[in-house]
Amino acid sequence: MNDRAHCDVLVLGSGMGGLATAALLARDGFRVIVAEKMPRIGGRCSTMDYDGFKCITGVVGVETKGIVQELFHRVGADFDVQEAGAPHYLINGQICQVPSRGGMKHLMMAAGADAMDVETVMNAITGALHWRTPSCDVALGDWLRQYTSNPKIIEIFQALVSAVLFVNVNELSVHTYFEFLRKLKGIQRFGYAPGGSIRLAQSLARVVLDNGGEIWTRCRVNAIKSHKNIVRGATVSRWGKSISIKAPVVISNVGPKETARLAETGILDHSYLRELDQRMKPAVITALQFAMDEPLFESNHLLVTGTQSLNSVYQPTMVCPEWAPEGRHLLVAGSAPRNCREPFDGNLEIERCLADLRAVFPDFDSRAKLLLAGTFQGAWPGMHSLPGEDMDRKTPVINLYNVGDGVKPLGYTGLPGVVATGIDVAEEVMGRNKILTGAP
Amino acid sequence: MVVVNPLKCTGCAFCVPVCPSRAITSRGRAEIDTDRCVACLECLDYCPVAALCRGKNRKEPHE
Repeated sequence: MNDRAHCDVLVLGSGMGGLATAALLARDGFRVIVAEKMPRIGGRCSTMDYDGFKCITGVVGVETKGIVQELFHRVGADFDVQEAGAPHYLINGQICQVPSRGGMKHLMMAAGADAMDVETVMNAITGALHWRTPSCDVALGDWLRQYTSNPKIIEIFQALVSAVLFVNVNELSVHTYFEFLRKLKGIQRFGYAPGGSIRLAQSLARVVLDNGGEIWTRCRVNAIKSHKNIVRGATVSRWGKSISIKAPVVISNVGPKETARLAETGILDHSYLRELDQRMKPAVITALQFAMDEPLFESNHLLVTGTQSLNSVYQPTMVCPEWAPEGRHLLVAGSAPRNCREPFDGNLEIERCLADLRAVFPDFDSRAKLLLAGTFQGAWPGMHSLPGEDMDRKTPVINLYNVGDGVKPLGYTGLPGVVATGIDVAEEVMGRNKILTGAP
Repeated sequence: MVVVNPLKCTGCAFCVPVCPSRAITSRGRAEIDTDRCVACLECLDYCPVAALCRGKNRKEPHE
């Protein structure tokens, strides 16, 4: 016979979406259990210690003064993030600092665009932001090409959307891009967590534990259970034992497709499954991590233009030296293929990223030693869906929700997007509970 | 020893740093150095897509 457990809310997966919702609900008095299959929490916002380096599992920089920080304040969690300043751009081989106002204009001028071109593009952006958002059916690249034929201007937008939205200018709808500029202001401020990104996950986990919740690591979910289309809990395996957890609300942070599989797809609405199949195209990311004796350049973050796949280079140790052994530096290079929908060849993408790094930084091979080469794709992607292609947070099974990057709101990306889903679902659960219990 | 299911492995390299024998390398897909692997099975818990599993006994940790 199975072991049994019960709680008010069962959260599957300890990524930041799951932990955000768990922390909010635990603070509101719900008995929460978080089931995490790995020995470590945080999912893609975590840290792997390797030869004394705090290697990333996904998240490098964290947006500050935004929705993530607001959530931490709301639940009373410690938000220990060291501000990193605005990113720099590498344009025509030169490092450009972006001023706090008029940044886009400055970048286009640095790219060598003539003043007329820059003015035309800036006018179009102003109109799209403050008057009418362009159509969903037009790609950002095609929209830009109406106003400029200068490939260097397109390349600036390419670097930004590839690094931050994990998609290409020719794949991203211009509508989604302007929603992103409106909601997240293009992510202007960010920083690094001194103890590694896992500290953010640990900070939210502490709130869960301090409010009577539990976090079960090394706990694999076998199935989500429902009866008459209402969720009833899940069965999990832990320490070789099967445990049946009874819960009136289940919040899944394992990706919408995996949630559907665990919920036994046969019982799910066919139109939902078709939508899942059509919409869920994962965002592909490659992250290479290197050990260095000296920094390669003088800032902590560079957005790189004009490369075949490299889009950003971080040197977190310029801000948080704790991320490397004393006197050494960690470099993280991010890349995304120029076509997210083509079959992905991990080895080829890694080679492309390395070739870009060698082209951009002289003597790269003699200055940087490769620690880890990670490709994020398929069932463990950069994000479960491309921006603007997300699923609903509610599933067809009543009281079974998804949180995380496959259900992010329009205009959101990465960690802010994931946290937004956690807040949204937690508030929905609190609201429904008040209706059911008659609480004021 | 541990074997990699190449159809499941996504190449995230989470298994590389946790291997105490330094038996795993990854370049788009994990590979196990069977001479180094001591079948401690720690990497299995860190694989997010269950692409690693225990293969035929070639070398056991307590032999």
